[in-house]
Amino acid sequence: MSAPKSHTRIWMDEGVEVERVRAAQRGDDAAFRELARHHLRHVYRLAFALTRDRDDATELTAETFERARAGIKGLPPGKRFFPWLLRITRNLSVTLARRRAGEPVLVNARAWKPGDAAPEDVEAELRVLRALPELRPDEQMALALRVVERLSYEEIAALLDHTVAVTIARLSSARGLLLARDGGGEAPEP
Amino acid sequence: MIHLTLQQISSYIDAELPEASVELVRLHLSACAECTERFARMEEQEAILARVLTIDPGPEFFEGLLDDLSGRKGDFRKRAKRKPPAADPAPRGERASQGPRPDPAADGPPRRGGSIWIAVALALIAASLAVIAVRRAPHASAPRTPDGSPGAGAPFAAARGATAERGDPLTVLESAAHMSSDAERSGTAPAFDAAAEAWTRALPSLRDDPAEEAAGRAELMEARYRAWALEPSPARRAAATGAVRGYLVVAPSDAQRDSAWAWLARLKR
Repeated sequence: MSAPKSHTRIWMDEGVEVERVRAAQRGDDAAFRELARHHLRHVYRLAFALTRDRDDATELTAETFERARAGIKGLPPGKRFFPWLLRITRNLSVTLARRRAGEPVLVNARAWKPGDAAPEDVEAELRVLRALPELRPDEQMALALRVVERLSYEEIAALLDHTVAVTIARLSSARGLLLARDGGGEAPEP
Repeated sequence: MIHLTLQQISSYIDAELPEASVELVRLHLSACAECTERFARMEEQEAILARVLTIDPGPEFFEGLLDDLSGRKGDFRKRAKRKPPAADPAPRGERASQGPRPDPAADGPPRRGGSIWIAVALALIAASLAVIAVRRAPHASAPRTPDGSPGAGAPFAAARGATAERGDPLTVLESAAHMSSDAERSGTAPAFDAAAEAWTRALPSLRDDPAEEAAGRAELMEARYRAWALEPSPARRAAATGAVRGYLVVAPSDAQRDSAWAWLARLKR
């Protein structure tokens, strides 16, 4: 799937990308580094949104690129690099989430000074953080891309390789569950 | 009254509804208190999500991470191998207290000749010695209490004098060492917060060697713990708990693990 027309800032120029991917597939590490440099920030930010932990996000990002480097020869011609990369991140995040299951929720997503937030705000954040692991991985991905990168539905659909209708359904389902866990009614049907 | 669906409110929040539907949603919201309340709560939730899911550590962090990715391929390891020689019989955890290691650059011949490489090698030696000295603090003894004297001024000062090639992961370590040094001097919670952030950035470059990773995690744990001890807050308690937990996984000896458990117990009180 090619990049949607509405936004292009997170996509590498397609011609350049094809050239770099081909070179990386031939073993050119400088070409892979260019691909990594372009996508690193976006992957890290997404990894943080998926893990809510800086160390885990770093580990997830590094592992994503390591797997990508090892497997880039398997990227089919005509397939965009970024959606393929995000699929690796998503799959690794599922494994990591299993490892982290049952661990206490950490509220370390932002610099926090005493007096910054009223206690009820802290509680509200904790409720959201506790509910997030309940979301399905694809819901978390869609929500993260929307909240963190402010991407359009069209662009999220292109990155996650599904339709805009599926994006709408995943986002509303995710938000509905979070709302329900915050005491706002029934969770939506899976 | 037929209420708005979750999908309609969700798409309205994202400004992804067609113009005609936007007008209908606005009209409905102006007349329905129930949907207005639901919409308001979802908007509040969006603000919370933006806070807890968003992070941007800055370009320096990503440059370091990019270097680390290259290092995983082997290039960095060839240039600045930080693993101790295979003949070193010291058990993990005691290694850092044995003083400077042999020249890390001497493990293999430089890939390019000339005086530039000699200069780079000298810089790397200096930086490596400094980094090793920095790591003596957490591993030379069990983790310290927040009221105890850390006594880490001298090693950090040694790191301050070191030079390293700009962009090399060693500079990330140096930066973390400087931050810890500054925190020791200022003795304030925000300074320890900043040091902890710096050690978090440095951790990826320590991953190649379990002993080094343990040392880095000990630094991170200490900075987080002391920030919490100086100015307790739920966030600092959570961050310190996470850091202690991270250290427990890699702690090189039972004694150090026990000390970390003691810190964890204090955090839970």
